Amino acid sequence: MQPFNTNTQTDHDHYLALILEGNRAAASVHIKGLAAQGVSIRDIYENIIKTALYRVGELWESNQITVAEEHIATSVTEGIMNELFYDIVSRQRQARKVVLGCVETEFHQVGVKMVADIFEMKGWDTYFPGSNVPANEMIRYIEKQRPDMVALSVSIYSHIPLLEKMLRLIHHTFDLPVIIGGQAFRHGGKELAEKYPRTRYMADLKELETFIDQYQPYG
Amino acid sequence: MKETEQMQFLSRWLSEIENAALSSKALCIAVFSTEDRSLLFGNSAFRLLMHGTAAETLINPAFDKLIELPCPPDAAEPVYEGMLTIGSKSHINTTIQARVFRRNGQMLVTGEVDLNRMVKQNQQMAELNRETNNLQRQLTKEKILMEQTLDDLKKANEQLAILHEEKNKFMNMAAHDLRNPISAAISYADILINDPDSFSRAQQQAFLKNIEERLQFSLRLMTELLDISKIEAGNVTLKLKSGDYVSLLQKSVEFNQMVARYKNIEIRLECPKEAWYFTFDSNKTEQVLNNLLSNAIKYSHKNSTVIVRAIQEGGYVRTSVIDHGLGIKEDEIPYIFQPFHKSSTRPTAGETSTGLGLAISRKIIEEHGGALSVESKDGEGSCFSFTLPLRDNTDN
Repeated sequence: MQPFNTNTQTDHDHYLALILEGNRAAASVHIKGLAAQGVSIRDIYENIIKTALYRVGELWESNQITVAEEHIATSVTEGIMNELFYDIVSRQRQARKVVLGCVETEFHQVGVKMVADIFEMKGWDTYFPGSNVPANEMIRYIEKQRPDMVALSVSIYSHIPLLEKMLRLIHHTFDLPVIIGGQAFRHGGKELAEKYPRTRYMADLKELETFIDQYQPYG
Repeated sequence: MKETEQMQFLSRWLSEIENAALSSKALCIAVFSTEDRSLLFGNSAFRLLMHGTAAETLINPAFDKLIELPCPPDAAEPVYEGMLTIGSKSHINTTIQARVFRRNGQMLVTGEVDLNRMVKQNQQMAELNRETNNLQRQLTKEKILMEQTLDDLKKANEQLAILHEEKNKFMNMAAHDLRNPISAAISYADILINDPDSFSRAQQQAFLKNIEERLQFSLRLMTELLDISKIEAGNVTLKLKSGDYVSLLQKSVEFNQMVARYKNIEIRLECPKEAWYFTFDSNKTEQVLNNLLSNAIKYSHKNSTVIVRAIQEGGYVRTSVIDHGLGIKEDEIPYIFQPFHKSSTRPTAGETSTGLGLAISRKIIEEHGGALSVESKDGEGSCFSFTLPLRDNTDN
């Protein structure tokens, strides 16, 4: 595993250095600067933030940073995403809803929020009950919100069985399309999309954007 | 292993343990002089938490309290064991789990962070952070919603201002159209009152006829103004009842034929011979038919024909009133149904018009769920046509 090098010049390395310091102000300036230059939100999320956060995970796994530093980096990122949110939300609404969630015992919510932001950019209303939602509570939440679609995110590979449990419950209770994705799938699990009806795996935000643009309701 | 055995075992590692303790970033070790309050030794962990003088850095319990605590009988036992806050009252401070010993003019403070507590607090802070982030997103979304609502409100206000302006125009026109005939009637009445002998009986009769016509016009206008005002306020409820439409057509044609006779105009009815029952407001529909027929007669030449035709078109009845009279100029057609619009073309026998009849007729038909439209060619005639939905026979 490559040690972290503060001398690299790429945008995501610069961003990575700032979030590990907990320097929210500078990280915000950096990201907003990229947005002002015309870099799309999708590209900022996919190429800068996601790359930096994956690297944060690797640094923690290789014991180069503490869990507290990992939390700080994530928290700074979430704050910056919130700053961008006002300009992300499309004023042209589609009258469509999506419920998004992480699986039980998962606290990583940056990925699922990126997905939520792409939906909001396309004019969908997004509903996120928070991280670590038990499967049966998720069912109740979906019943309450009556969405057109569900999106589920998994960050840790060992949580794939929990995703499958949630998928089974959702498809047993509702007739809804479900999209799945997340860092966990780097190591496997994509076959779940073939195993369950109306379930699609999204490899990245670009694929998600295309999917939303071409989406036609079932039947 | 018993404690004494442990100590014996660890004595082999005393040097390493000493170094680990002294260089630990988690274990605080400090030795103070109880006489002059100076710091005789402080490891790096302790020095990291210090703020101000060494003695001042012990906040709670304070240095002075610790040196006054009674010594236990066993000198190896601590004078104090528990939470000790170190740092500065005005800056960040830290609480450690401490043991304090005192002997021979010196005080030893050892302590470490309570890991259980730290882990719990970290979890709580992480949870609070997540909730704050989620709340921030929610508030942003609600702010956007509020902005959109304000925007809609602004547009609605602009629309209201336009409608208000139109209403004022309408009122001005109504007042103007009412005032003129009444003024004229008063003038004629004044002449008759003040100088009746200057005029022959026939002239006096003519004046009285004029007064009557003008007052009749004013009454008609006021009635229609009230009608249109009720319709606009949504206060008109159609009295939907099953009725024979053919009978209604025949009645309206007969009534208007009496007026049409003066211009030798024939009104021809083309509709089913047998009764045709469906649900509609009989009085209001008759009002529409009378208005359309009245207009057709006004704008037709003498010795001509006006046709009334009623046919079924899908789920509707289409009724057309067709004349071959003066027609409507093309640029006036879009405005024909607006209140107070008066055609530039004058009626063939000089008849008068309030300018409200078509506006009222359209409202009545639209209340039924139908539509009123016109096709016309200047100089060739007009066809006014309305549809009524073929409702099931239901009585209100």
